[in-house]
Amino acid sequence: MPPEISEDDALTAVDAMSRLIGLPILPGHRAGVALNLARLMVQARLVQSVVLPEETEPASVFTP
Amino acid sequence: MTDPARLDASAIATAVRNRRMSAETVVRAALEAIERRNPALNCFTDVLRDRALEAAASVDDRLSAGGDPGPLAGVPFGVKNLFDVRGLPTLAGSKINRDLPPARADAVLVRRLEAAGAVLVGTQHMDEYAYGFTTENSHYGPGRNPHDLARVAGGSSGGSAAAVAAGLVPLSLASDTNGSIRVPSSFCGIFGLKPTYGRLPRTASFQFVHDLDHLGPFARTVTDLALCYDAQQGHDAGDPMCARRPVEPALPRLGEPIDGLRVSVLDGWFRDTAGPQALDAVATVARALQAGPDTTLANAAEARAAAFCITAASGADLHMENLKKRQADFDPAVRDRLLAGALLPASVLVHAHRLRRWFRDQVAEAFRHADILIAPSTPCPAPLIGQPTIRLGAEEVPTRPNIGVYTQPISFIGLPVVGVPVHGSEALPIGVQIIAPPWQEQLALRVAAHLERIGVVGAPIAEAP
Repeated sequence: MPPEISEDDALTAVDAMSRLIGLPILPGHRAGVALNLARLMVQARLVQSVVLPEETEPASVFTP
Repeated sequence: MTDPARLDASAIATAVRNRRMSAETVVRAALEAIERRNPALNCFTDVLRDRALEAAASVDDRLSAGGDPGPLAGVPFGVKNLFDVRGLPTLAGSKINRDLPPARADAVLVRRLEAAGAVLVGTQHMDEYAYGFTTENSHYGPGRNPHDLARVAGGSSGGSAAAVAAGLVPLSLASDTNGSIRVPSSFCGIFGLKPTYGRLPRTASFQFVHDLDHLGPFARTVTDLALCYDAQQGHDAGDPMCARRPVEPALPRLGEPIDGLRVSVLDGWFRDTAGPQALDAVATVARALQAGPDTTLANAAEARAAAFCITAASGADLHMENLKKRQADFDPAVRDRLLAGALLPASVLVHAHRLRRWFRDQVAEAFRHADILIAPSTPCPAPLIGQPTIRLGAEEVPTRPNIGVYTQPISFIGLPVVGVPVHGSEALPIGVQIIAPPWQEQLALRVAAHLERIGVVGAPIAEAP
């Protein structure tokens, strides 16, 4: 588990979020998902640490 | 007589077109080499013997009738098993996709290579759903590195790279979302081209992350890479992200001098954590190209993190139905990452996409001062199969998610890259990324061709250990 995130927090998030979005996670998969969610959230924090200019739009392009 | 299975693509095409060798002879040699070495390497998943021999006969018939079968006449090639191949379910490395109906038609890039005279001989092994850098696949076993069978071939296009490195085929087609061409090219010691995002159509291939997926070739020479790339170019309406750009042939420009090109090595993120062999390889290439001052890309770590987050969330969305219904049928390593991706807060994803645009602009600024950027492809040479961690600087980090730390920031903004192999004094090769501005594939290929001509990079066939 990355030191920035506690195992308890990751497991709690996995249980709560999976229930909320209707994505059941089998009991045997729970710990692995929590570990990967913790790793992902470390990266997510890094992403959100960059303060972007307000006018920076998402890169996705949609042409009607 | 030279073993046709060991020739490169341009030598085969020349010999076949000049009637010095039949396409059938070449294809039979490739099929024999696959039969002999694939059990140890585990790089092909389906071998298309009948189809390949029919196609080879058709090339020979066309030549006999005075026709021109194309610039890749009789060249055997394989495709990562995420390309649609008529008559086969498109596995994408999974167990779940075995239940899909067989593809009714070939992927566009397969059709284009066959239209140029090349002969498809089989489909190749990969990480499940392309989510990995090692081709360690719980359903089909690990893909093995032809330089050392105890080591990974890299991923996710490991089978395609190993097949070229071992001399089973001179060309393979692969995909690269976060490094899946450049990583196995590094570990297997061959050339790989990840073109600009949107250059080559992905029509009828199994997607992973729509915003980041690229297709491209592996080869043992830069000429072959350019030959294959040129045969693949052109818009196709079946891929909504395929750019409407003219075909810009790279092969005729390979010999152009590179004098005056400003070459710069990426420092910071791309240097601070690299292992000694990666640093040596970059230094060797930089010296050969008389690189100028180094370049720092601000926020490369955050760009890599954004690619990491977009990948997890998009992959999760793509596989959501099966994550709900067939969770136990996924490769566990892939399943857990996809399920985690499904739980990522939406604001992170939006911020990652905004960061993508912003980082693109930062790198465009860097290209005002350099024509080519250089970085390692991987932090280290091929790890052992099952090796849980690799060293990144002072840290031991999990192997599978971290091999692509230097490739991810580059594909995140879709830049064209040629992965070039450096075979130094060490037993294992390692790759260097030759990175060009958007749509300048020919520039990266020219630089790679120069390095190959002066003997700094190259891809000798990996002999059976």
